Amino acid sequence: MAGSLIKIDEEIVTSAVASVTLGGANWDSSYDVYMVKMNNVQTDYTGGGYQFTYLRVLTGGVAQTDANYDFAYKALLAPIAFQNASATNSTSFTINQSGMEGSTTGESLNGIMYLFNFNNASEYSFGTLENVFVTYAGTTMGNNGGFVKTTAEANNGVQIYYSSGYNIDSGTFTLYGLKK
Amino acid sequence: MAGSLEFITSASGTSVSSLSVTDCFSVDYDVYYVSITKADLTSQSWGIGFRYLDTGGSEVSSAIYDEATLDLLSYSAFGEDKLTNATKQTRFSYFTTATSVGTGVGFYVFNPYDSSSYTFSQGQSSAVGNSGLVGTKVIGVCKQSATHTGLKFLPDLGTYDNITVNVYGVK
Repeated sequence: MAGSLIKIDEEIVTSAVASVTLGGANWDSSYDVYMVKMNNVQTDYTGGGYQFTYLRVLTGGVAQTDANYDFAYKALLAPIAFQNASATNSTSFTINQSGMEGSTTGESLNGIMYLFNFNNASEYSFGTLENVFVTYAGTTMGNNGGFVKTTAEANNGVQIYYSSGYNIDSGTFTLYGLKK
Repeated sequence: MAGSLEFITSASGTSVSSLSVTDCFSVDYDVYYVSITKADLTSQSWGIGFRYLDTGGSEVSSAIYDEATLDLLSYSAFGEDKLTNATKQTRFSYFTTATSVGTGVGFYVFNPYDSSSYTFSQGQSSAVGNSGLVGTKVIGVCKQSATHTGLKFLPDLGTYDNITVNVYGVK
């Protein structure tokens, strides 16, 4: 029997790129729910401070830069008190709010996101996030939360990128559809 | 078209102090999903903890496990549990002493077989303690760049009246 988690698109990064796009020309609109897997993601940032990983949705294959992203999540930290992170009318969804994925052995970002309602042009698109990573300082962190793109539009993918001026060095990004 | 969530193996035990799931990780997958839908414990405690197994099948018990657990309680304020440099992943689900209650635990494991990466995990659970519902959101890291071939589940206290674990690969 065929399975119900169907791979749609995959980007395997082996050298520095400014962003990764899943979907676009490869988007399959026959699903209501999608899953994005991020595995072993590392960047070229080695500055020792905090940088960010972001997500934007695609419309017609183009990353949307308008200020219509709302998000909220709980940041779980192994050594200190947990933190809340949120924003309204942002120009992107912040996947993680801490510097990480530097050159230190073993540090990487790993996570799962679910995307909802992306093909419905008359309603918003939603997403949930669960990830785990190690910061440049060796701190174990993870985020649990979600986002909404408060625009009634159809979306056909996502773009993932790192703070301005820095690149994604390596990692595997995979888009799946959840078959009904 | 074949699916991308592929069943790998199942393991179960009755009246056991631990349960090993051997050789469930391989070069075939980078990411795994682990589900536990049946488990009961003889003592109220953090019932789902685990260690990774190395290539020789031995448990990795060094103080290299970090963890953060958000406790979602039906009867009290939410709580935070944190561990650094622990000897196992400890607080993935909380159990009552009542038998035949069960639990629901699901978590992902990232890069366990990759000898050049740490092994990460993140997931959630819904279970019942003696005071009511205990849900968790949890992350964990085994800070060792090494190949891990399996899992050994062990509770903080007591023994498992029964436990069944399923492991899937995310292709």
